[in-house]
Amino acid sequence: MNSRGVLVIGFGGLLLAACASNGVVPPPMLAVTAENCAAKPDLTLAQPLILADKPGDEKPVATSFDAQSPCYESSPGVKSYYRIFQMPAGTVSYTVSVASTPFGQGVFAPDVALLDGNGNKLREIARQNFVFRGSDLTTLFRNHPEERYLLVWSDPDGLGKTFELTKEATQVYTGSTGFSTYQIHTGTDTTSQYIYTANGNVTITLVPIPAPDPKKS
Amino acid sequence: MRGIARSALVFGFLVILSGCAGTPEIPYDHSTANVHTIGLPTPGFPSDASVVLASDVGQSFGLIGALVDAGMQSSRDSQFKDLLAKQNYTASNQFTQSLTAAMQQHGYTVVPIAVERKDSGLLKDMPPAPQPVDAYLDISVFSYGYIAAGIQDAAPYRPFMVLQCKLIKASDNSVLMQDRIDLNPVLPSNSKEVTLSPAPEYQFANFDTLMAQPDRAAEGLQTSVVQVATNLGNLMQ
Repeated sequence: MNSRGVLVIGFGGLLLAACASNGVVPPPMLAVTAENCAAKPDLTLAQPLILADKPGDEKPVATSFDAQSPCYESSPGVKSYYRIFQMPAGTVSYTVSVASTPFGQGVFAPDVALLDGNGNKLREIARQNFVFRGSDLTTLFRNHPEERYLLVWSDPDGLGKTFELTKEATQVYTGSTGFSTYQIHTGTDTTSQYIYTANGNVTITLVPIPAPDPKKS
Repeated sequence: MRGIARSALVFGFLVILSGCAGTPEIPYDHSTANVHTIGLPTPGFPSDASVVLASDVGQSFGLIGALVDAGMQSSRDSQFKDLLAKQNYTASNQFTQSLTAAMQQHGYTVVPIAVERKDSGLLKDMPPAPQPVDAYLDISVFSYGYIAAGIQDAAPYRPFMVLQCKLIKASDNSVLMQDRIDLNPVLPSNSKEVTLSPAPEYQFANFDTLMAQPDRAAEGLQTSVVQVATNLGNLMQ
């Protein structure tokens, strides 16, 4: 990486650090070092997800992954931090959004699966279904009625992999001469390198899907 | 004057899209949709590419500055149109070809439906297909071309493209998928559209540099069109 790239990353990291709630961006965790991980996720730890009555009233559930998160060992030596969520019962159709928010240079490497009431895996959301939507690495998918739990865990294969993102933005500075105000318009172009981590922040949101318009059918 | 109006319209579109159009993203569910054949009405496409400078000195000088800016953008658009014509490159054709290939790769049969669009945006009604289809994929590309965030060389021109799409079930008009894709967004957005980063190798410090490398300028646009079409195809996996 050239010196300009390092400067850009450093500056981006500083900006994000200033925005962090406690002013400190946690270091990226590139391995799960926890001991005594369970063989499978513990369903009793599930947090409930709430489906809003109509679009716009969503109640997102934010969660973090760190060294205190529960972990499980899918095969010998392959460990992941995880969080588990309980999906609403019923047959209403809705969209599930799982969004991983970058922190500093890190972004949680998410894997997602849907489980039945006994914790058996019914389907996995393929890795290529995660794309950036706005500033978050996100996957969107529809619920299936038989799915009762949503499992999010750190992808052991993704940890430490890097990628670059270019972001452009415009800014407006409004000043005053004492007699009148003026504006100065500027633009910035920033390329940052990110790394997939086992820690980070994830937000789950359920969005109801509007029923088809009967007048149109 | 017409060119200036078109330039203002392009920037207006970008502003509207950045402000969240209010249509929620609906993901496609391959396992329940039972869709094998997709009718593809000719995608809506702007008549020409745009070369947008998202912030500059002129914006600080009210209406006069805005008119000067629009005139300059119109001039850039016109020069770039000539560049693409000399390169014999048509983005709309390539977009349709790339999208068709992407959908076929995901196992769909694609039925092209010739449509002449009078308005921008998505179609109000689906046109008749030459053969039975399970669903229609309606696409409207709002704008594409090159954009720079500012006038300094550190904010180079990079490819951009903005589109809206909707997959509609033929039998009952239900929406199987709707989304937006924004390659290299410059203006802030509250919405959750797919946001793509432009290919880093295609950046041009300023307009003169862009025009001085016609092969690479067209190649950059070509790469971005394929990138967007491929990502749109991926939404229907």
